[in-house]
Amino acid sequence: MKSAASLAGALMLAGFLALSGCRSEDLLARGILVVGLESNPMNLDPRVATDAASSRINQLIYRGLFGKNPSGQVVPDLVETWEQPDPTTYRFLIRQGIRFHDGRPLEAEDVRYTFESLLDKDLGSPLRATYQAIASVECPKHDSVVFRLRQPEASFLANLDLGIVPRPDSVEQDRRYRVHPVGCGPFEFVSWEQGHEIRLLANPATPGGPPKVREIRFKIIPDNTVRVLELRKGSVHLIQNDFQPEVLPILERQGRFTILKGEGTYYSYLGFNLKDPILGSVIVRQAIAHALDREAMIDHLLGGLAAPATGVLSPMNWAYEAQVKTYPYDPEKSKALLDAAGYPDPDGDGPRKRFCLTYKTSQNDLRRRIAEAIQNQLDAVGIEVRIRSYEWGTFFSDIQKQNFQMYALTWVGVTDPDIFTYIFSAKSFPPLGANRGQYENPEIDRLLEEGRRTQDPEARKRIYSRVQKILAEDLPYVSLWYGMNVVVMDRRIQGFRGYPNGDLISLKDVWVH
Amino acid sequence: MRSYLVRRLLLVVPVVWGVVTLVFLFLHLIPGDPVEILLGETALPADRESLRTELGLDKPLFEQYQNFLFGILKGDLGRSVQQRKQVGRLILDRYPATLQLTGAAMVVSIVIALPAGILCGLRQYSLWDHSTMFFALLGVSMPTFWLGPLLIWVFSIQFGLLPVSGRGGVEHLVLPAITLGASMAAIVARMTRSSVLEVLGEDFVVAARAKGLSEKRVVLKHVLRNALLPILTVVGLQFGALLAGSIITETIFSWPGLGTLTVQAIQARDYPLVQGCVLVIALSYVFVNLLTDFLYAWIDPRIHYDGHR
Repeated sequence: MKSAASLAGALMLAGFLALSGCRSEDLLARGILVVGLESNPMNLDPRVATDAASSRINQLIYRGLFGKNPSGQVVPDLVETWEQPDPTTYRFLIRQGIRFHDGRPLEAEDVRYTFESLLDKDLGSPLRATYQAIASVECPKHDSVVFRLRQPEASFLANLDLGIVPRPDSVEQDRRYRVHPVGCGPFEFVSWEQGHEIRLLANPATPGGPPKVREIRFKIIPDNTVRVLELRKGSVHLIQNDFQPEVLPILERQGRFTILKGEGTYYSYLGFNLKDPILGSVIVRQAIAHALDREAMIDHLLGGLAAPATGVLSPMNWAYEAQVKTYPYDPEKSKALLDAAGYPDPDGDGPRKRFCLTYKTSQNDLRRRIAEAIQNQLDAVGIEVRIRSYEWGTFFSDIQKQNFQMYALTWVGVTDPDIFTYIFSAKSFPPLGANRGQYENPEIDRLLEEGRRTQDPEARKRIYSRVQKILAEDLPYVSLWYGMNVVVMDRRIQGFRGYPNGDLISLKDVWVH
Repeated sequence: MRSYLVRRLLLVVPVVWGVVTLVFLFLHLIPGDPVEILLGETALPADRESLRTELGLDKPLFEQYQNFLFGILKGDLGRSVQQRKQVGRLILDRYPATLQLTGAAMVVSIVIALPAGILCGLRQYSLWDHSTMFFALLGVSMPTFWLGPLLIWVFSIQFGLLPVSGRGGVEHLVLPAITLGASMAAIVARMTRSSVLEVLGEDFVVAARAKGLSEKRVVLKHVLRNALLPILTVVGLQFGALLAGSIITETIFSWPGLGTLTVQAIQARDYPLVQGCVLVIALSYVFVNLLTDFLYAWIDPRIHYDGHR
């Protein structure tokens, strides 16, 4: 027995010594940048992908006719010049000398193929609705493309950031492209180990010079804590937004990281079922708005990483209207409004409440804590709130079927104000859109239709200004906050710029100090 | 033995059929539409209907069930709704990782638990016995979602000995295997201790000692072999627990296995993928239990499966 114990001890020591040699190598020093992702990208075909992880990686592999700068403005990318001879026709001259990663030159026919295949029902693209205004795509020359629309659409250019894919010459090539994506972006696809990692290599043929980072690896790490631990260990070099706010001060104290905090377009809100007998009253909704101490929630739950919101469009948006009705924290005013709405407190300071509401949310830890804070604040004005948290599929199904009273969610990546049509038009009740609360206002519908057709930016701005003012009065949503875009990265990484919508296109410009 | 083998293999069919049928029913009963989740709210109604038809979701439930069963018989598990790839291919890509993790966890737990439990039984009420049982209690009490990050903090961050997460060489397997195997090790250690204590009290052990055999020979040849049967039962049953527990461990350690694939498929209401994953997990569990039964016969020659002893 003593010899067995000695043997066991010797083996453990040997194992310890062997493992001490297993230090992680410094990939960043070799020009390999590792980005931590929370979720597995679904599809690297830009015509089909709708999830954020896929979209952000696709921006590095592909280029679109247009892109967006850090301020969210639409800027030409593959387009050299363009003109709009009439409201439904767009002519684009494609830049010359661009090649796909397999060496093929980019031509106008590739642009036509990208959009025609996307609109083809056989592809089954969820993005078909976004581009259904396109009546035809023509290529009068090898370097020019003409889009003809069925009706004027002011937001059309903003949607032309779709990655252009190469037109396959054969069925076999098409099959290869599906397995090994090919674009003309600053990085080319190398490999995708499902659930583990995606690797991209710098494209040596990038116009203006290849990226200074040799390789990017997107490592999928679902657990929040482990993702941060990977960052601490140095096996992940950059994380964007995917961490709990309370972790940030700890990382700041480390001294090894650069933390970029910028304005974001993540709009968090409280949504209501306007067909509910209680929440159908605008006075009740206004009372709820006054009962919420958003500054306190931002400070204590979000670590200060947000700013109080006034509407769907963030202040960075060109169409943002600042002069809208706001609802500062005022519990006494909230109580007065509830009294006026016909819901007096039955027993003053006693335990009985005015009424009870059900608040549905997902199982995300932060969202549940926010729900508890809102529950607490509404309780203070006499509203009982029951929180129901569900896994995502069930939660999403419920809000689509109007099986809710209140819920909280976030709109991400809002750029064009035409999103109001999708969210608040009477034609956008699910499944046709996202007007889950069934808000109806003929004036809003008229303004949204006009905004969609109007080409003049100043005229559009006036239209959407009016829209925002009406929505602030009607309160189909109570605006909570605009979440900031926060990036934590190894301090040796230089040149990275955060985008308000979380895009990672800036990775093409980074270098390692 | 052959007739027993045939009987057990035939029993696999109704067991697996029962499991996949229940999963099929539950999947269709819970809220959530795979078409809505996949296409989102921006899709055209015509595209929704088209996808619903393509996936066979417009057919009556019984017909969908029939098609699913016929597909299994033909070896076709269908196509993933979300990833648009063959379910069989997706499972084959992930299953080896789960097997690797589960196997390693089982090895770790047996290597730790068996010797510890035997020593506890041989040295009942000693300091070794008390401390081992204390750690066994800890092992069964600590949830994997707590133990995993704790091990990462100590061994990856503080000592820098091991990687934090991901799949790679042997060093990547150490922490996930310990995390997953800790609970099983605790249970097996306690079971081994009880079993050894019970056998030590048997007459044949007294007789073996009376014959003058060395203590080592008594333990290894007589005690251990007789004590193994109940331990084997627990190990076989724990395999199912390992498979279930691997979901949390795989998530913590970003281990690209079947567990995380199943969870993602459930969240996306990816019916074909969930059903395929459950089928594979059920078959694995049944196979391990079958193997356990055969090991009984190998360990204990008194056991005959053809109806007589």
